[in-house]
Amino acid sequence: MIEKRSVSRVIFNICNYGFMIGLCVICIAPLWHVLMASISDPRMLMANSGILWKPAGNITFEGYKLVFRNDFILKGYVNTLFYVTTSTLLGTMLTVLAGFVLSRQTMLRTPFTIFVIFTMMFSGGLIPSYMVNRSLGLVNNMLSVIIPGVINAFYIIIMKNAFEQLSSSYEESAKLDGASSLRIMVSILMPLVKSTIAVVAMFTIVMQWNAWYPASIYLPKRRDLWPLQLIMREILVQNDVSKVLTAGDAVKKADMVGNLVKYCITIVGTLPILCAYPFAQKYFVTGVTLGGVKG
Amino acid sequence: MKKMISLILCTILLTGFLGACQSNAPEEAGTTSTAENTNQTDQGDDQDESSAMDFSQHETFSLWLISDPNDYYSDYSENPIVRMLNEKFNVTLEYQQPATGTEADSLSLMFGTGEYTDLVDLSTYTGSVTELYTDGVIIDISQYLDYMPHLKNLLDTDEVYRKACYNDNGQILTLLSYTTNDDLAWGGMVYRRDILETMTDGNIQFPSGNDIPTTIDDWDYMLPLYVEYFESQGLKEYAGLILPSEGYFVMGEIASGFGGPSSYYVENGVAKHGVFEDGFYHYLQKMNEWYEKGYIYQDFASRTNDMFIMPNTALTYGGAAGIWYGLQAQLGDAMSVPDSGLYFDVQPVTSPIDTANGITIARGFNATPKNTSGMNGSAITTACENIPRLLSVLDYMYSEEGGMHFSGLTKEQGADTDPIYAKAGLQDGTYWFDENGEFVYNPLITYVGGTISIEPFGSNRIPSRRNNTYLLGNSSDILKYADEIWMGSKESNQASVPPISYSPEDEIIIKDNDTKISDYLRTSIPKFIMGTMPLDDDAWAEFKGQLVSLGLEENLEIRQEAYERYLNR
Repeated sequence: MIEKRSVSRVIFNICNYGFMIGLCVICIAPLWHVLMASISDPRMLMANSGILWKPAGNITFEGYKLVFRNDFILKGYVNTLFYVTTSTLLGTMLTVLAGFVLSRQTMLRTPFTIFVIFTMMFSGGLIPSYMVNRSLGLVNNMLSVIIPGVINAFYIIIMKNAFEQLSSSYEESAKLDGASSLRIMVSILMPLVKSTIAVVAMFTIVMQWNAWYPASIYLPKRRDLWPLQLIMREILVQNDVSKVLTAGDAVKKADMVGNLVKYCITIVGTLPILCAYPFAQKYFVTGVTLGGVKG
Repeated sequence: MKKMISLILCTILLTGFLGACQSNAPEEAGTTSTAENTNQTDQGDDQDESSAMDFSQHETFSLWLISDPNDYYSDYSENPIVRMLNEKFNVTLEYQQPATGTEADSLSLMFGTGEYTDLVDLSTYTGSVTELYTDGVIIDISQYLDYMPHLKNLLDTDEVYRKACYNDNGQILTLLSYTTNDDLAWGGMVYRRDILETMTDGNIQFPSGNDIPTTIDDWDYMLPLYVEYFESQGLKEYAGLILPSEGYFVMGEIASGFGGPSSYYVENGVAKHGVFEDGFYHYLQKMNEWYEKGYIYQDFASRTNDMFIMPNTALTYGGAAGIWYGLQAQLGDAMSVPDSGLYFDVQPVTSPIDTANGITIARGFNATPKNTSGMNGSAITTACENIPRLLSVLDYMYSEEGGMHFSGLTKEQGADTDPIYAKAGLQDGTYWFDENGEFVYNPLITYVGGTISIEPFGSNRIPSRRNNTYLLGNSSDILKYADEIWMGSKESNQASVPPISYSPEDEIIIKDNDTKISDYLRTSIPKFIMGTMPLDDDAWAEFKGQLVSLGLEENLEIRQEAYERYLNR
């Protein structure tokens, strides 16, 4: 059926598109500002006020050169990639397993579900958690960034709901064909909930990419194991460019270059995750709503 | 069923809380008594020990400090002076550094878990140091002075330092660094002299007759010229004078020209607060007048503040500000951009003296005066198993020789074999003495025009004697000149509140009142300046009354008593 183009429909479309474009601009403008600032002349950048639509002064990549000359940032990148990869693989696998187990109609399902939900509401707090991790030998150890937060109760619930949405006939027919529980989970059910798995994986990636706090607590003596976000945070928080200026020429320029470096670091730290997001976008709507549908 | 689950969860929660309380109490008591026992035992044993220490057995000490990583190392254990100490005294000093911004969490974690390092840097600690001692976390260092002859010598010869180190109970709870000279002030009010030159065709005539602006009349002469200049340039947004969002500088810039700083100070032995004095009333009147005339940045109150009080770099670096709080690095032509035709001549300026009300001096207040740098210092914890040994190592840093390490290492002291020095190309050392015995910085160092900052190579984060004589001697003329202007006179520092201490109870009262007072000042002062709250004698009386009700007088009484205790130390 061909939709009739009434006047009200046209007005609605104009308003709708206008609103959505405005919304996009509001979301993109800050990112664009940071990008333009990162390639601006540091002195002209200091003199600028408001949003930058184009670089202030002559385009320069001086800030990026300083950032990538810094060994800590490169090490941080490598560490972050390791943490993200490991946490995502391990975390997604454990979440799927836990979600599958909790979605089965067994006697232990309710107590285990309560146990999982309990951890969402109550936590031991920083000091007890630290003491437990210390007694496990995780302090100043790479595993301290991965293990304590590898599984998230909220993701388990999402996964559990996703499995529960599926018709029990899938499982019954597989059982009749002699499939084991593991086979049912891996070969039959997981392909049907892959959008939810993708969402859980993406959430884990984003969470781990942005995580800096566990490393600041558990890796006090191992700066070489710090993730990128903690190094970035330190540079941004302390308003100090000494770490990135190998030639501290410029007592005079320090303020200006420091300002520029902040923008460059923000881009360096954000770009990879921004690039990854669109690829997982298509799973998001179906994945999240699938996990949330009841009954 | 749901009710049952809720009940069970509540019971678990309650049991957890009670359990925590129950288990903590004896533990805390136990810690205290253990600490006291440790102190007593150690003190008893150590008093008989000779100050000559046996360094033949290797020892390892853990130290927690705040330090930023640099280009050469990220772990302070790799600091060349630390490695030199390790070798010299047959020890290993293992440093632990929290990430910037997580210092408080890191300290809480340490104190909460009872896993203290042997030495803790308390420079960012906001709690009561005295309470740390009574809780058995740190020790009284004064009991171990026999192991620290160099520190003892400083305590005996410098009264100001001695009073800063000892608390009212005669204890030394933290090791303070000793700086041999006042550091140069790192910032203060600055003005664009080039604009004045332009507007007067090089014939600046300050009403005071001085060559530089000193009185309120001089500022009344300058500010309209700035506004006229900015308007002639067609600037939409400009500022003759930039104030911080609070409407006043906490350290007293500008307000000190009206009689006193905008915070606590001591005058003729009496503790005072600047905002409670009549001079501040005159300050508010003048600021209100300047604001109404458009001399003060109109949006000052809505700007965010930061530690360097740079509310709007776009105005200062954009060439649209006349007077603002500037840093050393902005002085002279440092902000000029010749390629863009921007020429700046930024000069330091003293606070404007309110001569009409009988004020004759604008006091300056140095944040880092000699003798008392690093106010909270570093404490030795009860976890340290060999206190005399650790203190003996640290004592070397309070000697004349140790104090020179503030400037790094000479070639003879090991710079030629040190990998960090080699990495920077400083094998000849950061300094040396020439054939006449004159101190000479390596030309690669920034102080003398080089490109390498000296900080990674010196001992500035270790509690020590800091011999900054040569650093000051090599500072540029404009920095020395700015220091003179910003400080007004060295005597003016005497009005700064010395390192007084309070009982834990008084400390709670002081902090609680100060928080309320600061909040009130932050909201009311901008309103007075902007004229949204009328300023007359009645309003001033009401303002003072409000401060009294928020505890200002109570705070002054506590500070006065603490100051008198300080004098009697």
